[in-house]
Amino acid sequence: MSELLASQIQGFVTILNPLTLLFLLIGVCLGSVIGALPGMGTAAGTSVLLPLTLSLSPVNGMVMLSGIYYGTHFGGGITAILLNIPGTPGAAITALDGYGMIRRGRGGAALGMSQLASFCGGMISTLVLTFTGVSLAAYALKFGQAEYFALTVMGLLLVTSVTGDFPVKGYLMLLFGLALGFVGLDKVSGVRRFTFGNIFLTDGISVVTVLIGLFGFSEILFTLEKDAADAYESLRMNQIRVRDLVLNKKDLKDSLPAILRGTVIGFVVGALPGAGATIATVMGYSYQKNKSPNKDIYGDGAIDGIAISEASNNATTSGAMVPMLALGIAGSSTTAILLTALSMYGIQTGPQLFTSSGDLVWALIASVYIGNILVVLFNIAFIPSFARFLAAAERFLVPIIAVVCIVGVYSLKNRMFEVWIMLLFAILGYFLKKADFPALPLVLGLILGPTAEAAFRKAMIQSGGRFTVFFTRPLSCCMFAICIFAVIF
Amino acid sequence: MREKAFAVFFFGIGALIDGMVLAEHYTIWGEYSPGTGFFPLLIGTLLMLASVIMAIQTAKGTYGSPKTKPDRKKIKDMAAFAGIVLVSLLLTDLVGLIVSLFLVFALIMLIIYRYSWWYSLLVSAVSIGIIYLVFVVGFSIRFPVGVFGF
Repeated sequence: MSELLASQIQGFVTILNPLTLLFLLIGVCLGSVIGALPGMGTAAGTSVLLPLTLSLSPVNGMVMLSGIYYGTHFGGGITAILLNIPGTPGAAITALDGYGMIRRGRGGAALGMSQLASFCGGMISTLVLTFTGVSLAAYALKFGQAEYFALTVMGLLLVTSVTGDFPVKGYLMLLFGLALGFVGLDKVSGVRRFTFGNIFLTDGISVVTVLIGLFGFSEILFTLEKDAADAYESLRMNQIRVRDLVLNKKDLKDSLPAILRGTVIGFVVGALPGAGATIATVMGYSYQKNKSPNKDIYGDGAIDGIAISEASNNATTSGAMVPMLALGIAGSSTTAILLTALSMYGIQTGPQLFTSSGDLVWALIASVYIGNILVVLFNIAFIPSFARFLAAAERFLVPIIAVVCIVGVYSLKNRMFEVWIMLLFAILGYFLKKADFPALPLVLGLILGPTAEAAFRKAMIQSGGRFTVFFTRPLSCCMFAICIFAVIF
Repeated sequence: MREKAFAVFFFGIGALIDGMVLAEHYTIWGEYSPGTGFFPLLIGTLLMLASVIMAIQTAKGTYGSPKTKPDRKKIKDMAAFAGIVLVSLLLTDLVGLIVSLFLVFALIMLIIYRYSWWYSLLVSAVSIGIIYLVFVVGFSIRFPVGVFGF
């Protein structure tokens, strides 16, 4: 323990110099801005800025890149709350309650909570990473296909808590989301499914494209339905100054348990290679519904909904660093980019990283603590200015949002096909929302469905066709027992 | 009425999925595990079942009567918006994405919000210029280029 603390202190000493702190600040600020832009996303932003960092020293470069990584999670919630346009997939969940709070005139509290929850999720999970990272990595490896299937089943079962007043509508949306997930290359056999001969559908329907269409672009149609004076009344109602970001006692009391739950869920799920921030956010959000002290407005303005989604979103970044640093395994496209950067610096990744490049690793972990503080300070200054800009540009918001959504979606895969898909989902989203179909089950199905199917089939293949594999593996058996318990009770 | 329409829509999606699984001869069950077509067939069938249930519930009046429609002017604005976006984006191959976005912006201001033509063009040019600087110059994202060379 004392050796660990000594290493961490050395890490802080390494980064506490003006140049490294400057690159850290640039990284987190850029990350926050990129996160706020719909479509850009964590992986896209990190990969675009990777070449810039290669001319720096390994410490400065990695500190900046990882700052971009977790900075995007801070920024994703800002446009999700203010405009109902999620900057990242995880932020789509934040948009549900965040935009709801804006409509209720509590935008400042919503934005304040998103920053607080992101900060707490990031800091607590980094503490856990510091003290348990290496040993946790060994457990992450025990997660096989059976366990991944059990995890996704747990996530899918949570749909029962978010179906709204009419469960059949919720289940239809879940099934539709699952169906959309089948489009593209089958992950197990490599066969093309439901592509209708269109090459662009080979890599499936992008979650971000669907989210921006359903949430952001369709919102324009709802705005046009209103009178010009009411169109962005919510932005005028929410004069956001720095002091409006401060939360009251009730908000803190309602949200602190959600922040802690979200941190645990985010860190644990983030540590599993391939699980991802979105799965963690969706699971945390759905789980919180039963615990929420604001059940009547959950999904339309509950502050603890923002707390759990932002906390779990940010906690996954430290969780994802567990397999990345301890084992050299990339759990997501962004951590793959970070590992690539390490290789480009001539650093060999893998289980020996902590011993062969311990200075760099501990400096990187130390930078996450300071980076979390810097990004919150930056956003506290940035958010009121951004909100004022939006309120001032209210008259132009419809064309601005339309153009930003189109560009954001185009930049995902550099093709117009994604834009057409977004428009299709925008129109569909408009009519679905008019008929009171909840969007979250569709998102759940689209995100969890492909993983659930692939995990089930791979587990069956690996076990030689035996269903008992899901109940003979201890972890998987425990998770299914929890599912059965949850269904019965 | 809306629920009925969506019941038909989802039933159609389910039927399409099941139909394609059978028509494309996706494997339902492989040597050790479900094949390529098993889960789509299952989900397609469940979609059809759930949409039938919703249709029955709609007939029983479970979902109540529809909310009020937007007025004619609003429907016109929404149709105009859809038309502007559609036509502008269809022109992308010819004029490039930057010009298409400029058209989207300017036409929305001109037609829907009825600003003067010079004000619409000015604000549009400045806004698209910022988009160009951020995405093309800043993030090196390559937009489709048209006859104008950008």
